[in-house]
Amino acid sequence: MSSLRLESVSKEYSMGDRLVRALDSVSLEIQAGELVGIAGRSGSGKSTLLNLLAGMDRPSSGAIWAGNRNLAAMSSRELANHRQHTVGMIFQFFYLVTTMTALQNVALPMAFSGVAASQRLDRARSLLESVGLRNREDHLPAQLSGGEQQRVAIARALANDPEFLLADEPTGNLDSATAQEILSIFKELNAQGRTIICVTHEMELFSGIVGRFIRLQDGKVAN
Amino acid sequence: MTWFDSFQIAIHNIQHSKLRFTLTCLGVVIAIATLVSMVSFGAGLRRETVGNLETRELFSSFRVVGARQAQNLRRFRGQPPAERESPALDDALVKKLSKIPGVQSVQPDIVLPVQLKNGNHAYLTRVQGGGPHIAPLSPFSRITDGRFLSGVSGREIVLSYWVAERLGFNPPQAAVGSTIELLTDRMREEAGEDDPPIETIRFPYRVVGVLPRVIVTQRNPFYMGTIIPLDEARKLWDQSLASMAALSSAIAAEQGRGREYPAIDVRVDDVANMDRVRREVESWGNYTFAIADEMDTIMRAFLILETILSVLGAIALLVASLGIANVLIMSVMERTQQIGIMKAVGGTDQDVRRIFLLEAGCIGMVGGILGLISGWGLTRVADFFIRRYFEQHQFQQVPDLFDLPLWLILGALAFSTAFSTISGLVPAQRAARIDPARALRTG
Ligand SMILES: Nc1ncnc2c1ncn2[C@@H]1O[C@H](COP(=O)(O)OP(=O)(O)O)[C@@H](O)[C@H]1O
Ligand SMILES: [Mg+2]
Repeated sequence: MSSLRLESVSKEYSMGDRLVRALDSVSLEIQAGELVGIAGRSGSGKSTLLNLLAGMDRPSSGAIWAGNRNLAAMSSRELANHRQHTVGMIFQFFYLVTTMTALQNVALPMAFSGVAASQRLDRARSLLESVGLRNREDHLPAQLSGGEQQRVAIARALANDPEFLLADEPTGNLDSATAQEILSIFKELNAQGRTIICVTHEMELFSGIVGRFIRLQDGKVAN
Repeated sequence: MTWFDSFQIAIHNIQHSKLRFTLTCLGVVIAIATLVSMVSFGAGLRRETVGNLETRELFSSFRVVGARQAQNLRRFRGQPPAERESPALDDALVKKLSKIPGVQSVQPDIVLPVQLKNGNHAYLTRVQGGGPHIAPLSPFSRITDGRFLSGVSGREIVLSYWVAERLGFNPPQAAVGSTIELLTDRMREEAGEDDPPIETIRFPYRVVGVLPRVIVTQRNPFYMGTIIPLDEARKLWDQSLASMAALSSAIAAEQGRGREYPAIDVRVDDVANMDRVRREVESWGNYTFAIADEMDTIMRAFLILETILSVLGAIALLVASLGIANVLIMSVMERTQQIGIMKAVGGTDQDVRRIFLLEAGCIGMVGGILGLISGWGLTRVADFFIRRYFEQHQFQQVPDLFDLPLWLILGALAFSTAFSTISGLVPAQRAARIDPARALRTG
């Protein structure tokens, strides 16, 4: 079990000749086993922060420690490795591969991480079963409801059994009843020991399950 | 990610854009079909002219030419004129030639003009003296109606298709078995005062065979249509006045030099002996001519032809490659999100690049295979029309002017796959460089 730690991390985007500072020397730590909410207004840098934790992007300055390894110093291959094994991503718009069935989508990360082909489908099936979608494995994303797609996405995020689940507004596109289902899945996964970091601007909805909120404002931690 | 998994994803992607894949493939198919049929034509021509049995026979034969022809050839080839007079092409030389070790046959070139008559059909033509020793040479070896001469004497004649037709045989093959008349002129031996000095002599000849009408590449360069046994030809030729050769030979005889032939064809038993035998003959002062000497020029001509044909095909392939690159770049742009997803769930740049390269390679491979098949089909259609054209003009044994050797099959596939993969490099690199965070950005 390890933690995720940011040491004065900044991230700047260049928009033409203008620099946009999305994160401004952010330092924070997330312990193993936590269920943390990241809140803040739109444009406050939540997604940027999550992407840095996921190894989808590199900070402009600062260090991001996953255990004793600094993501800021990793090659793109090492970052891919981090995405394969250490984190699982969940998005607001689900981002399933539209041409692949639910089962194929869940099995995809295992193809990248090199799980033997014979084991992939078995594991993907049991993951679908755990999110209650065993009977929908051959359905394409378009044949599934939003809530179902998000559950497939959760199963996919768990495919390589990562330590951290990183969710970016996972309920932002769901009605409240469906959102509640997703929350209870998160709660259960956290109870099983998985560390979950969840970006949201619906603080009331999440306040029941998260241990704490990290509030971002204009790229800074605002506590 | 294993190659196999990348391949599966590539195939998956192809299956989900069938129309686009098909259209792109079609470009490759057309290009490869063009390339294959063109190069196939070049290869077929090469095989028919310089690669076939008849040609290989030519490599083991040469012609000893007379002084006048030697002079012309020397001038043509930019060689200095002969320093000394060459030995006469007479029977003594024929004998001497046949005694060189390694010589298989020696055939004096006896050609004389005669008139052939079948009933009231008459035709003025030339006959050549020959015998069983030239039977293995094309087109004599290709005879299908009747047979070739069985010996060097006897009143037998083999007609060319054309001459048989002129003599009123319909079909020309029907001439086999009939007897025709051969007429030639000679000096009257015992002339009365009122007799003209020249008389016409006539002999019956039995037609034993009719030569098929074959296209030029299937003849030997010393080919003369109508053949009678060598000794008969020699006898007639000795008396005939109707040719320059005979005239000069008559003059030579008057000067006590014996009869001379315009040329003597020599065949050696093995190509390996060719140089040695020719050198020996040339050391006597005779001039020789062999088709092998012209081989370099012929091969160069083929190389040029094949290069032109391949370049045309390659241009088609280049155009198709641009099509592939274009389609793949479009598809990279369209699939930005999918690429972002693959990276987010652990795909490396390398994985993404490979998937796109494999897609490009698949287009090339499938296009190559279908292109080969269509190219082959094209050559069959072309062959059908060429064959029909020649057959309508009474040619027999028309060769296949197209060749599809293994190197062409494998080469076309490799070429097509390589070209397509190369045209996938830029799109694949673009895909590999896609920033997943940006590709999946929402707000
Ligand atoms: N790829 C990018 N290029 C330019 N600006 C960006 C990029 N990504 C994010 N930003 C900017 O950074 C700031 C933070 O964005 P983001 O992290 O997406 O905010 P949030 O997820 O909290 O809405 C915004 O001002 C946004 O416009
Ligand atoms: Mg966001």
